[in-house]
Amino acid sequence: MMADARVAIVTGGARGIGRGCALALARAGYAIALIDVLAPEMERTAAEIGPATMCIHADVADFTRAQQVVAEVRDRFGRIDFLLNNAGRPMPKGLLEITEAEFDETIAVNLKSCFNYIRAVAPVMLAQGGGRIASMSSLNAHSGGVTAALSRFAYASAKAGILGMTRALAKELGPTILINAICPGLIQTELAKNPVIVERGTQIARDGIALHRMGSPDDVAQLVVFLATCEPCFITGQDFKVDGFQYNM
Amino acid sequence: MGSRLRGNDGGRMDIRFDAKTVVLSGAGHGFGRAIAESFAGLGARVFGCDLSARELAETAKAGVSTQVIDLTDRAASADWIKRVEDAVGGAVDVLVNNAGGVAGQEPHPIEEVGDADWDRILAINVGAAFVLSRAAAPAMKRAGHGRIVNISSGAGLQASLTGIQAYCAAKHAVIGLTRQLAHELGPFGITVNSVAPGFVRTNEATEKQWASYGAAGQEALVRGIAMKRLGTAQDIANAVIFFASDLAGFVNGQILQVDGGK
Repeated sequence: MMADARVAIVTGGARGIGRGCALALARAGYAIALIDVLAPEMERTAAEIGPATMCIHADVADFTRAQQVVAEVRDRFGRIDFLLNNAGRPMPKGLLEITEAEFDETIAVNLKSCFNYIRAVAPVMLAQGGGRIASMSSLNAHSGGVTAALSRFAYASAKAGILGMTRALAKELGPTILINAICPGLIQTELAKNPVIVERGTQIARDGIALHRMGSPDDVAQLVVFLATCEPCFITGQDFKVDGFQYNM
Repeated sequence: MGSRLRGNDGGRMDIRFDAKTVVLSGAGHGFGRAIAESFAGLGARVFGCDLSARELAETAKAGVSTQVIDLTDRAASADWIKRVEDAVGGAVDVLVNNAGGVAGQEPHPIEEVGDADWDRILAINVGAAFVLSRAAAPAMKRAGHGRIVNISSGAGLQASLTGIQAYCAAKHAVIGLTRQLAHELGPFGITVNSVAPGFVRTNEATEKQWASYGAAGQEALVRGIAMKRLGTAQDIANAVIFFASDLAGFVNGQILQVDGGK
């Protein structure tokens, strides 16, 4: 790998939005460390990106594992310039159906995971004098969710938690580290190929999105690249909706 | 010059606006000049207007075609857009509604605010954005694409540090206009977004405002910003470049606070 290449960690980078972001960051010149539990998909994405790619199998909800993962990445590449907290999992159960364990797991995978990785990379970024972090929240954090088949209140709670974490950590980690959140709206990914979601999504796109289409992972990835590379950058503690302007339905 | 987006040595994303037409109000100084110079540096054909010929002459050095226009003259404003479209033989690709400000006014208690003062600030902030958007939209719709970026302010989201009621109301209105036009023009492939800058020292008015805080107030203001510095005109220009670029294809109706984190 190039000695001066910048380095990005992408959690949940095997497929979907994470894969799109990893590919776009690689095109922008970043060496990529993919973190995921989906080993075959992760290997495929890594092969697409090229040789300067690390694949690390890890459950992002595991705090100790995050410390190990970040140490591995730092040892291999020597630095960490950008962290994309993208890993997450939907939770379709409502309040009266969800178990306590399912709620806890939803918060752990979607929200605590961000803490785990930010806690692990922040010392590295502070020591090297700079770094950028972006965390994938969701339009659900604002709207409470329009795609009820995929996610309900527990997911929305976790994703809204990311916004609070982002705003507070922007203050704590500034001026050295910039941190922002991204709220994708309806994005066409592998997960969203479910026929029910496609039908509902198409209807929402027609009736409720000003740009009259669902987004693509690349739509989100373009913003991620901007946040990683914008120089100078005075943007921190913000959340960005990438939703084609969806009305609250 | 310009607003290449880059991450020092490695990560790099070059944005270009070659063969694109960018129209910008308030191009004479501050954000406007930085935005004009950035677009020109990235290959765009830039047309900028302002009230002051002297200030525009400086902006023109970056290769910007300049025009003195009082945007409260709505006929002249619309005619300028028409002339730009004739000159380039098509639609404006990017319209940046940057003109605005406090028109040299000082804050007064509401009971002492005169009609003319109120009307003028509304006219130069939201009225100008309205008239230029109205003039540019038809050709953008025919072209099936376009980008409108409105410069609002932190004063569009909360009370204004200036203490000027009309300014705060006008900037809130710019944000409302942004959202409504995003809704209306989105189906035609036109995105409408807004950059909301925090306090940036760019002109006489902001210098006066800065001085009024005194050393302790200035220190407190900077201490309250996560990045521990004031923003610059280039910081604002970079956010405008993002909204205008292909990077923001699915970003519509959004208000981006460029304030260093608060």
